[in-house]
Amino acid sequence: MSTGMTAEGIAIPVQRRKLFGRQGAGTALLLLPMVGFLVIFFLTPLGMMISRSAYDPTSGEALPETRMALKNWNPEQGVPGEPILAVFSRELVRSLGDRSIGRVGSRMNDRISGAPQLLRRTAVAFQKGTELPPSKVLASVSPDWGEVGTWSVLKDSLISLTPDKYLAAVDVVRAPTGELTAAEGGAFINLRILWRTMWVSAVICVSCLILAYPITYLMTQVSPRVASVCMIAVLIPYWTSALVRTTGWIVLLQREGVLNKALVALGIIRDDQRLALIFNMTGTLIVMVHVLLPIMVLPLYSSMLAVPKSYQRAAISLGAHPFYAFWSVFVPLTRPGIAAGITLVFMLSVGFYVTPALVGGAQGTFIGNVIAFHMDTSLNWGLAAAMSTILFVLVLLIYIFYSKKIAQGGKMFG
Amino acid sequence: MSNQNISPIGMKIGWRIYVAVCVLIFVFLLLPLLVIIPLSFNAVPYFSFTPGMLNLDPAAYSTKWYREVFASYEWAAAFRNSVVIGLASTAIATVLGTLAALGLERARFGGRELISAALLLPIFAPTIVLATGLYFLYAKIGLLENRLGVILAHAAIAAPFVLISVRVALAGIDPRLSKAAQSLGAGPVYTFMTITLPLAVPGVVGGAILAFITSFDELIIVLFVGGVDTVTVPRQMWTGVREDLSPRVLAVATMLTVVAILTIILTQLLRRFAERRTRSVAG
Repeated sequence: MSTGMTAEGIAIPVQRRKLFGRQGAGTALLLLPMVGFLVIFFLTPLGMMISRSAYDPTSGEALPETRMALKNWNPEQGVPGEPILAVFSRELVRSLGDRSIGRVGSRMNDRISGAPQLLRRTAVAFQKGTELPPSKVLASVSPDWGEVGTWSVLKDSLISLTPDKYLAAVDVVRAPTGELTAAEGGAFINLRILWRTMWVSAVICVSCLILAYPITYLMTQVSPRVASVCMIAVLIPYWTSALVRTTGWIVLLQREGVLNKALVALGIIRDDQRLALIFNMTGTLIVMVHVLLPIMVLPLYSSMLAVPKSYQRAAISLGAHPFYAFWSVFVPLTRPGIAAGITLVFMLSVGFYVTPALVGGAQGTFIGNVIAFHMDTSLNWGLAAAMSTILFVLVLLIYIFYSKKIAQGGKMFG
Repeated sequence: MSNQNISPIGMKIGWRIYVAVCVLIFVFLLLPLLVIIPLSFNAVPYFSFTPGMLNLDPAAYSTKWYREVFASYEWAAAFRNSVVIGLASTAIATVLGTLAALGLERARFGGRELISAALLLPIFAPTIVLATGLYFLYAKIGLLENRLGVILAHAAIAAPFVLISVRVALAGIDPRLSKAAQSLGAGPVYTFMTITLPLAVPGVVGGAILAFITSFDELIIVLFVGGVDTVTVPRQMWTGVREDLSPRVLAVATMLTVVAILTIILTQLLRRFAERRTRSVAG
């Protein structure tokens, strides 16, 4: 019991009791399960991926003594001397035996193509056993061993930390001399796909906005019952999986599909003029706009509901053309919803995998598809991890920006 | 004061055109779903309307694809896996999300929104990124090609949805209700059990439904870390759409669409039920 004061200044006994009792421990206990769970099943995978993208101790473990020996060597000294070569030759033969030679080979391959085969041939040559000094054996296998650059690359390949995967993700390669050059003669495949992903996502955002705005506005203007029906029409595609909707679009847009058949039957196009609307970038665009459209509608709707209808009427009563009243009074007031919608759609769009994979064909692939390719086909997990990290950081930056803005503006989902 | 700028007829025509455009957009929204429904009843294995179908000839329609799906071993297994994985991950996600929402509701410290934003990150992180990371993690701890692994991963991406749903429900509870209860002498725990929790239940149920759908429709994680035991409906559809595109896929797609429609109606009813309860309690 403590003492409180009434408005008139009379002291009265007061029993204060917090609504839920003591704060700290209970709150932490409630949050702990989900936080802990996400740390294990969300943060840890991300952490392992980031580590995979830049950290590879397996090649150094294959040739540990060589790594140690090369630590004090640098390219200015010229090709390493016989003692180092002896260590190298011995360890190389052993790594051929326990199959770890592949780890070194694939690391070197990031910078010198054909490195795995070179290492293998060299190991076989040493395995045969010989009286010749190592330098002579190396020379007999390949003149590359007489190049300082080869040894420089070998030294770097035995180090656990490597920037090469990230460089490869942006189509850059470190030449044996150490300078950065464009990979594969300047084809810039990955950068092009990354750019395409962002560019197409921006187009998708704008398209979604253009299509979503009219129907959302309509929902605010009609009776609540009709608005409910409209909302259900928006929610039905939202609650059906992207896979189901993509299947529907394949059926609609393919060469022998419903749309083309209808156009030919109506005589609008000839049979050999069928529209190629799918399995290319157009297909990706159309289907992704469809998939993401409901996501644009929801924040728009909640911000539109917050604008009092009287504002537009006031503008019209002051003599404004109704469309002008709409454009200069209503639309700017919905800016939070527009910003939220665009941010959400863009974030989700750049990370898409399923739709571009199904309907993108060759030119409609996104960065997610390239990541998947490196995971399951080319098995270049380090590169997949590097590209994933780049994608994740991109989305994370947008998310942080978005959270900060929404924290000022109000609710995230409405 | 009448508006000099535009005639009443002009307004009417303008409005009609606007509504027509909106109708076209709604058609765009529903077209792929509307198209697969009749095509799933196609008597022949084509993905387009046969002349017989357009003439509404009954012989051109058939339910054989549905019969094939129900008779098929792979689809039965896929449905079973989807349901098992869905229910298990929903259970975990609902518990995690509800507890966290309650915790956030209590929290009075400044970092609350930060923690909330962090807990919602799995929704926005590209699933492909998470799937790659999960592959590395599961390879290390031996959860690859394992149903439990998929369940836990799905729970991680579904829990944030439950969190949002419960938070919204809790925010919608009139604070006067619990104050009134306390002013009548109810203790904090009793108030929580009899006032707060029942009013939050629609949020929990809504979140659970969302979580189930998230898990049921999820494909990428199943593709990357799953195996033979974890072939779910989307995984089976993925093979079906990419390799042997038969109307069986359309039959499954139609069934899923119908279930989605029923779920929406269910949640709309749930929402109306929740509103009625709050109104009656508040008096």
